[in-house]
Amino acid sequence: MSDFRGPAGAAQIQGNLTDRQKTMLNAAALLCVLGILALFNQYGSEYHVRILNNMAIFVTLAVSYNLVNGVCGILHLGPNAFVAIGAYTSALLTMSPAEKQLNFIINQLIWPLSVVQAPFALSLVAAGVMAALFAFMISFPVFRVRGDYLAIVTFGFGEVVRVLCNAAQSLTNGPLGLKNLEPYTNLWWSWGIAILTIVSITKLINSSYGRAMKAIREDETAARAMGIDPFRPLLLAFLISAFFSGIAGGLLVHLITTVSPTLFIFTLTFNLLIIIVVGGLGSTTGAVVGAMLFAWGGEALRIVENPVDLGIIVIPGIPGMRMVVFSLILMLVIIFAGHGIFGRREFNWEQLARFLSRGGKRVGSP
Amino acid sequence: MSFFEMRHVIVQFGGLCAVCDFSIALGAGELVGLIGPNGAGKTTVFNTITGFITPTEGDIFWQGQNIAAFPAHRVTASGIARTFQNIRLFGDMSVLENVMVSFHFSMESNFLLAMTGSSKHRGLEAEIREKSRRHLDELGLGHLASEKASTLAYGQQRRLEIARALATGPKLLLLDEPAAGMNPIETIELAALIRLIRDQYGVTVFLIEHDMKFVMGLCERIKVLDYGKSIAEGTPAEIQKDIKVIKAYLGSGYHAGG
Ligand SMILES: Nc1ncnc2c1ncn2[C@@H]1O[C@H](COP(=O)(O)OP(=O)(O)OP(=O)(O)O)[C@@H](O)[C@H]1O
Ligand SMILES: [Mg+2]
Repeated sequence: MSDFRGPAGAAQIQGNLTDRQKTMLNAAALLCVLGILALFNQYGSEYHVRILNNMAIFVTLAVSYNLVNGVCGILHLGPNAFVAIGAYTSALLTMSPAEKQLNFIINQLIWPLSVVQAPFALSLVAAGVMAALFAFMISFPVFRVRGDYLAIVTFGFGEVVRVLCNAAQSLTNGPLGLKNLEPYTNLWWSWGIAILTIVSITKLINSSYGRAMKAIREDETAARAMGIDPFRPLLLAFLISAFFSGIAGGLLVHLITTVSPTLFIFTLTFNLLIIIVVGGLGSTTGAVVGAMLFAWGGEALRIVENPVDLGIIVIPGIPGMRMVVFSLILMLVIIFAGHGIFGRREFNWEQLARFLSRGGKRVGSP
Repeated sequence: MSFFEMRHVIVQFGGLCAVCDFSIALGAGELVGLIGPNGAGKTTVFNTITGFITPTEGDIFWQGQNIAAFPAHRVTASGIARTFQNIRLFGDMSVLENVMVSFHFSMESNFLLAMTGSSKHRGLEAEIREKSRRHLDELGLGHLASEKASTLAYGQQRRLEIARALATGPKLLLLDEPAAGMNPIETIELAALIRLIRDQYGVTVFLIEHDMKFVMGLCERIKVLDYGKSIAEGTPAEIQKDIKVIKAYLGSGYHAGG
């Protein structure tokens, strides 16, 4: 029922919303987001549009990363490898053969990559598939171990890929990287993918597959006793995470229009880890909010790297100062909110309704 | 061939023979107890049956197969479920979700249907939710469905472990010290529940328990284990009179007459 009748209506809002009502609210929220994007697309400055694109890409990355680290409770330290593979795949597919020849001056790009060219959309799909394929190949050694060992193995694979980006010159053009990509990534692409990632991963988490993943996180022995082969849900999470991370890699390089191995150093993984820990490990809402804060903060905090003019003396800017600030924020969050901003809670309309009907005085306990 | 049978099972941990030449046969619908002093190897027998430990030697016959080398999840899928001596719930998940996990392995869906929110998948999810609720109601935990599992009282947690094991649809249920930590009233209720499980669900029950009054009152047949070896087998009355059993228990401060 849509009519709102004072206290009775408030009571209704406090109760459970029907699935239909929730779908309507979700649709309304989606329209709002699209409206905001349209406004920025039309009137936003280049600077703001870039921040928004960055936000979307980090949202995609963080939500996928959280599926493995937060939902499955696995300390995976190699998402930078997935992003790198997606980035190179997508870039090598959208570049024209002529442009490739201009880029690869020391070593020739191997055939048939040197002659093929694909539309952006197809290159993104290929980026996701290649990253997932790589994830599949490493999944057997990775999931033979757990805990610190798994962290080390995945970190190792991340480094191997980064080194290969430098070394496999006839595929990646080595340290020179790839330049002059078409700037295909716009707000519709970046946010379209981000929303697709959020929606599909949320559906997965709320399904039986997601419950199996959480069960493994909570107690792997008990999960096995309930008939679950841990390898399967973990592999599923790993592949899906890699798929969307690969696509995000494609979006990233077509936003900045260059690819270079330095984009995919461990710092990328570290940033994603900060995002999901600050947002709340295991919470997709936390990953989204964390990623948006990070992308915005990354720009806003540029001032700390600028020279400071105190009138009498000028303190020169210190590059890398932003990372110091981010690390400080991470430490503060860990100290004062051990489980991040959202813990494992998720956004839901019912709690928002309860919150609003109380006049925003107190959030209902989770 | 018996409904369930272990033949000459040996489990060795380094030099220690935790289970030495253990054999047992269970008939369909039986209610059998496994007792013995601390460290006798009872839990190890359960771990071996359920695929958490592969026996050094010996065979386990179940449903016409030798399941000795099966991994845990396959044993469960074949119809043997268990609970744990040291409760192992999915602490951060709700009581209902804990039970719903048990339906995952038999769910006929795929992840693409789940991610796209297809109506077929949602139908299956609703079915699982409904079945899980029914299980909780039958075990008297229905009112706790949306509580976090870790917030439950001890006795309720043990009950939830049983609910979760039953939800996998077993024909043989292994209970490892189900009454441990329960108060006398809860213990009486538990005995009634176990009888109900056997009588109404038709599940064969094999249980480990230290509470002698409980075991003697509930089980039809009892197997006694000491230092990994079977020292006696028989009805509660026979076991209570068995001199070897009395010795084993006196040695560790128990009295079989309990
Ligand atoms: N995974 C293992 N590795 C090495 N030794 C083990 C292992 N599991 C059990 N043991 C040893 O095997 C012996 C039997 O242990 P088990 O847990 O089966 O005893 P139990 O009869 O269940 O005892 P309790 O009544 O205390 O539960 C003990 O000496 C124990 O220390
Ligand atoms: Mg034991």
